[in-house]
Amino acid sequence: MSTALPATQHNPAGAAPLSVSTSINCEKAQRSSVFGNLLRIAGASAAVLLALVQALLLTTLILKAAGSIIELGPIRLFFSLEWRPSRGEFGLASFAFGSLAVCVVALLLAVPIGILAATALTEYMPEGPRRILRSLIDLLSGIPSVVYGLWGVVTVVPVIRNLAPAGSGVTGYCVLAAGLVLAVMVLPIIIQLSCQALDAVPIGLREASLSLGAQKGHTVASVTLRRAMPGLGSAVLLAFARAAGETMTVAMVAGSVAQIPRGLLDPVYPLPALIANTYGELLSVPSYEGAVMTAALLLIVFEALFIVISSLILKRWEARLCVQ
Amino acid sequence: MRTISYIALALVLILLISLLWSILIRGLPLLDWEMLTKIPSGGFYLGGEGGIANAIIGSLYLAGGATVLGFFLAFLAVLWMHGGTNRDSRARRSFRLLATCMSGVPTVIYGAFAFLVMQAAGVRACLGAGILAVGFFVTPIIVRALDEAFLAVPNGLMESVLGLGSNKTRGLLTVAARQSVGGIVTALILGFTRALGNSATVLFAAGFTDSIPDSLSRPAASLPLAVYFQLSSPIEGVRERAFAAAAVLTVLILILSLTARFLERRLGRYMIR
Amino acid sequence: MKTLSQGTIERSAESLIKPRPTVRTETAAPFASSLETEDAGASPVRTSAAAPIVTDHLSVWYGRQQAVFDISLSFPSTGITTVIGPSGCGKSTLLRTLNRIADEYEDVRYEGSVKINGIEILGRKGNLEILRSKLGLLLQRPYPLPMSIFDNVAYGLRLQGIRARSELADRVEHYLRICHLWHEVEYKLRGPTSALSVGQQQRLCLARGLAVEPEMILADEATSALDPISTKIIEELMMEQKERIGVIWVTHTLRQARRIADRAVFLYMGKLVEWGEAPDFFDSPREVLTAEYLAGAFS
Repeated sequence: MSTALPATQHNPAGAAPLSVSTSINCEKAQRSSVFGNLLRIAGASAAVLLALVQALLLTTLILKAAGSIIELGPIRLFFSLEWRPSRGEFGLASFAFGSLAVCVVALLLAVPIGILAATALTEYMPEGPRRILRSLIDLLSGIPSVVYGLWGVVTVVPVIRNLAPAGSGVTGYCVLAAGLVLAVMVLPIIIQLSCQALDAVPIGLREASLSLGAQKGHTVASVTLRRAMPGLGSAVLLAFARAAGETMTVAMVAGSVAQIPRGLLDPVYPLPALIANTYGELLSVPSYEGAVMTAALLLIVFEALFIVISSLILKRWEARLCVQ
Repeated sequence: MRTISYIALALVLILLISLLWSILIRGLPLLDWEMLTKIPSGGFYLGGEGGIANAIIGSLYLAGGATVLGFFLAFLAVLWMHGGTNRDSRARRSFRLLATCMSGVPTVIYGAFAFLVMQAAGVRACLGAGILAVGFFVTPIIVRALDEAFLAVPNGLMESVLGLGSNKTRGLLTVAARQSVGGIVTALILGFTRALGNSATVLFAAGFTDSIPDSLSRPAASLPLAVYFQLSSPIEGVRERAFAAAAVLTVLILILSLTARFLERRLGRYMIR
Repeated sequence: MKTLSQGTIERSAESLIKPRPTVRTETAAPFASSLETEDAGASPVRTSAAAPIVTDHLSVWYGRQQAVFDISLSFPSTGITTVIGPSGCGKSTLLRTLNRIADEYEDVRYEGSVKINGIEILGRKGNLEILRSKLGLLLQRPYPLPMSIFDNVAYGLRLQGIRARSELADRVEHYLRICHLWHEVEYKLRGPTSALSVGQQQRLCLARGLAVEPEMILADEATSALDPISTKIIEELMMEQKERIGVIWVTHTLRQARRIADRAVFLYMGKLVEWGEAPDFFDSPREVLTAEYLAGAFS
């Protein structure tokens, strides 16, 4: 049963030319490589399609924005604080500032807490609970922004309203609320990425520090965290990008008042919220659309700029830190 | 160091659990048969009766369609990346970078762009537009996830398969895909959950409505927008629907994420380590 | 320069393990005289039936880095040819050029010629699948396919169009028996390969490779990840198969090379230093560099 096999395709004395059965295989190989080539072309087309959509998106926004920049003049468009669409006054300054303010608050809250929590998870926690908690946080990172917004409206805003001195006119919809909710939203991302960055620090480094007599806490603070800085930096970056682009959350809790906030408890109107809320009104007033598209463009440009500059700084940082 | 780390961790957990709690405690009790299977009556903003079936079905249509489109495009593109280009080739790296940038574009930008295109084409907010717009949003996300899955396949495995006389495509489809099947399924589910949670894009592209769309040219409701629009209603019944929608959304996403994890482990039976 | 004392010690230790079978296809002419027939400048290339793989002034670049410098060699269709040399000397690159697996790397560039069965393979853009199925590949770390043990061996068979279940079952059993693996796996054929030890997995990879009836086997340090017992089993398998199938065996373990080689090739920094018949190659190498390497002056 097992030893009687059809003759093999070659003989021991030397190599025979390709035999019949191999030529059949040749045909089969041709057919399947036709399929392979088709698939490859289809794949390349898909890739090209995606690139085209992206390019189209950018160009369209640029064109629309350019239209309104030319019409209204860049100084008024970007730096004016007046936003009265019905009067044709479009100034994006307060929105840009609102976006910035909310992001800064969110990051100030989320970054230290997130990195410290990641430290607890990777450096201190025992294996069992660590896996459970990391899975839990991974799960929670999928919660959509509306749910955060809802939590903000239901929990955060009333708390702020109640804590503020009575009669001060604080509604609770403010920079602080938006910043806080955004912070909670980006926490899972920061923790996930920071954990990855900390895991990547070679064990040998920790062992070296400990064997020099340093205490665990000192090792973590001075050695591990410092070595993980580039990774942590990019975690912060991504969190910032996410926070800056978030629409729903800020639309629900930031207050939607176009002004420069004078304090944390003032309402504000970040760029994404502007874009979302003017849905429906865009067609009624001329130049409105252009101005809003400029807002969109501004958003992208800010994010891109921030990411590019920070990546450069991070790279230099990384080069200086890593010895290997 | 240890104490503040633990305090931070505790804080995070408290915040996240309180978030889940506040949504579910108010939303879950509202989920009865009527809420889940009836559409709102008397207009979604002012009519207090009925349920959120419009949002549930609409979300499933939108996210389902978008994920199918997205996965199709993404899988083809990743097959090209790993089969049609060489390791470390410039084409591969550029596309990877492109996908990373694209997945960082805020959803509202996709919405604004969809709005412009629809305006130019004379198309009104509808399910079809929503599927396309969310599909393009979700594709780069799935691309990156699939890319990671294929990257995890050891080089030597592909070399061995090629050494047996298989061509690259067949090798990718029969061996690499089987090795990374857990990652592929995760990518699919990840795309679906991101599509479900999308609010800013569907706002512009799909609109909102009380009814369940019966064709691609009708507007579609979605769970995130159901929360957004109905939360600020003066009618208690409408506000309750917002909470119900949030609860359904959250529970759905949590269950899907858990399923992804479970499947990843189960499907990895033949995976080599 | 002779390295007699080292060689004698090595060989007496060797004889404790297993005597090397003395199968020769050529006469045992003295090493020096066989060299006289080779012209020092021209490549010792004969595109004859006895040497199905022939390289002629082969050079390989990865981008700007040259990995293989002007190598002209012929590999006969039977017997074990070991390729030895310190790490980074281009052994793996040479191997991967022979079945064009090196194409996977970006910016790979070839110069010169490699002929298999008289057919030039370096210029081909077309499907390389036939070529590759004629050259079995065995890598350093076993890479069983992510499927059942049965499907692993059957993969190559299915590629060649064999679908009938009974025929597949017969052939799978045949090749598993050849690799002395049948009795260890016959009750878990449908199970995952993770149930096997590393040594068994490598034997499975060998069975899988033999199933496509290659004409030669290209082995890249195929036993470096294995324990001594598995190593011995695989070496024995090679010895059993080498009458049918030629083997190009890359290794950095000199002792192993001495054990199994019928011919040996020494590469250093991408250049061909020396090649010749064993045991003369190991006992009385022509080049100083070779002798130093064999003596363990560097590794």
